[in-house]
Amino acid sequence: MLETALPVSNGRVDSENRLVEADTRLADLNRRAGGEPGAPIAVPQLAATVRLARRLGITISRQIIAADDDLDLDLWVRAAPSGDDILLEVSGWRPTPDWPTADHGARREADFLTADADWTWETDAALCLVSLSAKVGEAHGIDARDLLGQPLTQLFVLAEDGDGSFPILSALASPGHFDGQHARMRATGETVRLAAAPRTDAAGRFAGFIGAAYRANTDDEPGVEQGTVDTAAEEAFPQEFGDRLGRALRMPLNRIIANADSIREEGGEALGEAYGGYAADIASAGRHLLALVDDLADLEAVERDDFAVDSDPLDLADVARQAAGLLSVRADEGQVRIDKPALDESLSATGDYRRCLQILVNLIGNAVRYSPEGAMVWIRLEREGQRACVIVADQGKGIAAEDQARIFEKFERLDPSEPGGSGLGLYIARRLARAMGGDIVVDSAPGQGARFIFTLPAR
Amino acid sequence: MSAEPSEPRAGNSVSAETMLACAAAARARAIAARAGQVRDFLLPDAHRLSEHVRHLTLQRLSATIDSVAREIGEHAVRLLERDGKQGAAARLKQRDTIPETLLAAQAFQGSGIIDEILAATSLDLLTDSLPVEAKEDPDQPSLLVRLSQSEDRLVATAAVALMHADGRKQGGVILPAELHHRLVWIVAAALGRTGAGDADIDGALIEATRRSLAAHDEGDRAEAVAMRLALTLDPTAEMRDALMTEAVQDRRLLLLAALMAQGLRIEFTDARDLLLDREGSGLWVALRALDLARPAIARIGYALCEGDPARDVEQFAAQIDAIMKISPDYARRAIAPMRLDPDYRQAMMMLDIGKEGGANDA
Repeated sequence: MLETALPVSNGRVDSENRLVEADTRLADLNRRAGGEPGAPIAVPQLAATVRLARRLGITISRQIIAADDDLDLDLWVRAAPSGDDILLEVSGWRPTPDWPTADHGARREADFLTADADWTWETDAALCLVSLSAKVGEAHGIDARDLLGQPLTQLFVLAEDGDGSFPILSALASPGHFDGQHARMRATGETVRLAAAPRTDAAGRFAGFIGAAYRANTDDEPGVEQGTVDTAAEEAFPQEFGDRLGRALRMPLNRIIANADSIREEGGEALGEAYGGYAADIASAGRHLLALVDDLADLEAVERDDFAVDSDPLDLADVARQAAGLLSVRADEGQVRIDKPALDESLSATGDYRRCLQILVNLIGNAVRYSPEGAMVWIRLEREGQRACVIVADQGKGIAAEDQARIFEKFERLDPSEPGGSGLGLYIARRLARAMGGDIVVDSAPGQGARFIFTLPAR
Repeated sequence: MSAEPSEPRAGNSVSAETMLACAAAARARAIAARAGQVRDFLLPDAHRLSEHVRHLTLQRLSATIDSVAREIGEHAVRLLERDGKQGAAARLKQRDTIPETLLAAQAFQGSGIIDEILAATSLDLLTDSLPVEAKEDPDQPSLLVRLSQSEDRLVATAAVALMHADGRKQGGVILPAELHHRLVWIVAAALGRTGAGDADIDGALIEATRRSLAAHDEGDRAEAVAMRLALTLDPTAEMRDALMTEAVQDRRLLLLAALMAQGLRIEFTDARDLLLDREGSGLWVALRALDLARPAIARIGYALCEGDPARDVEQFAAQIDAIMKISPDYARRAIAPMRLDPDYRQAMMMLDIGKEGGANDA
């Protein structure tokens, strides 16, 4: 995603810190803060930046947040001494996001890009290489020292994408990040895919790229040879998005959850009850985020053309018992009972054990979640001709006929106000079931609970 | 009446002694731990390690120990296998997790190894948090890139080497020779313990360690490479002003420290300590000793304050006029003790501490 060009507003502040000249946007901001033309500058953060530039006698570039009526604005300010005056350049002019992203945004973006890169590279503003990770040697047998200080194009031969443009050049113009820039290693002829985040200064000016290189797999190669990229796949998700998301987020989230749990368990009296509660909230929010990460990674996987599942003989009764066991704690918490298949029951089918377990955990988990206290969730096994069926039935509020198709769609949730869930679980479950030659269907009426039927080829 | 600990009673004397020794050791550990807790309690917040620095330092220390342990351990195993001592080789292969063993044993106390890794890590973190500053001319390459294209082959090679060394900061640290020497023997001793005093294992480890020490090249260290570049550049006062300003703008604190060290004729580690000192007065005096002009000092001070929330930019702005009033000659005299031999200085410091301790005791 490229960012739009930022409007710049100029101004001049005299030796008495009065805003003596200002473009309309800057003059309006100052006026709304209580200032007037020819009076001392009224936006406190702007005034502080001007004062600092004057006292130090150097140009100061800073990102500030200024209140503008009931909005907070993210502004990029450059204050340059000129004789006794200070010249102001103010750009950005964007409302501050609810969640703070201003600090180290580029660094975070770069961390995300490089989390699973085969190797990384960095350039300065003139696109000369200033850093190459040691792995470039392992990957391509290149000595980084031969290329550091050289233009990026000494390392890569860049390829056009399907529209005849170069993603890196578009990113340079904005500046913004890019992905899907295909290239050939000049030294070895190997193909790679490049992605990068821009490094910008506090005035929004481009100072270089922090980049990642991914060795092309066989799917990428035709695209490179023809100078095109797989735009259909990129519309849904950039390639390997799920993997990258998983690697970038899973470890920090696991650490957050583990630490929050330790605080809750060990903090005890020393911290006070309220803080133990906060720690529990943090752990619970962390688990929720982790579940979302898992869903998104699965989503990316199931939507790939080359997604494949194992086709092994398995006992669906055993898988159902395992899934019910995994959910027993949650069921106890909700005072819901799960009636799982007896130990002597079995139902032979063909499928991928891990994926079947995932589907049944999802179906039984939903049933538990939507069951009232004291209710029962039944798991029944049936064989219908060549199909093996697991039926998960609950006593929840049921699903109206017109909603029954919707619940299998991506990001759909019947009650968006309800906390938890990404709206991906059933979509992924059905895609997985179909990939194994089976399906999931629902049979329900409002007030009468729901029956989800998961089928697989019988064996 | 309870039995005397030394009373000989049917095979119990050994375990009683062991128990007493254990109790004494546990008591010593408890006293040391309490002393550490008291020091920690009394430490002002400004001097306390942040979790970020602590975590990264531990990570680097572990990676450094791991890489040494792997190098020595694997070579020693090869030597044992070559000599047909398969049993000893197998025992050595099943070694414990060395970093944890060494940290638990506080084996690095007073060795200077952690000090060095801590300082290097702190400088890297400060570097990473410096503000990004784009050049006035967007087509102008950064300082090291321009130096790498220099006609002076020595300058060009050193500039490339510094970019290369800066890019290898992940993972273990290459230590100065003296510290590396200490670390390698400590790691070898820890590996030897897993061999439970087997003379063959000891012999192989000693041979592997000597080989590792011979192969160590402290010239590969990023700090040494930065010093090489500064010494090769040997800038005039005017050039130094421009180089130091651009080094901080390009977020190359290793080069900034090296240029300071070269200009002041002090050790790199002393220059680095000046940059890391949040209070900053030593740094301002050093920059005046180099006769840096006001804009260069303002730029360096501003960047460090923006990069480190513990430094107060308003306070720095309030000080800058006073800083500029320090004459370069006066500043050079103030810096002069830093030029003395580090061992001599260390010994003087120990004497001073002894004197203070004595006064307190009295």
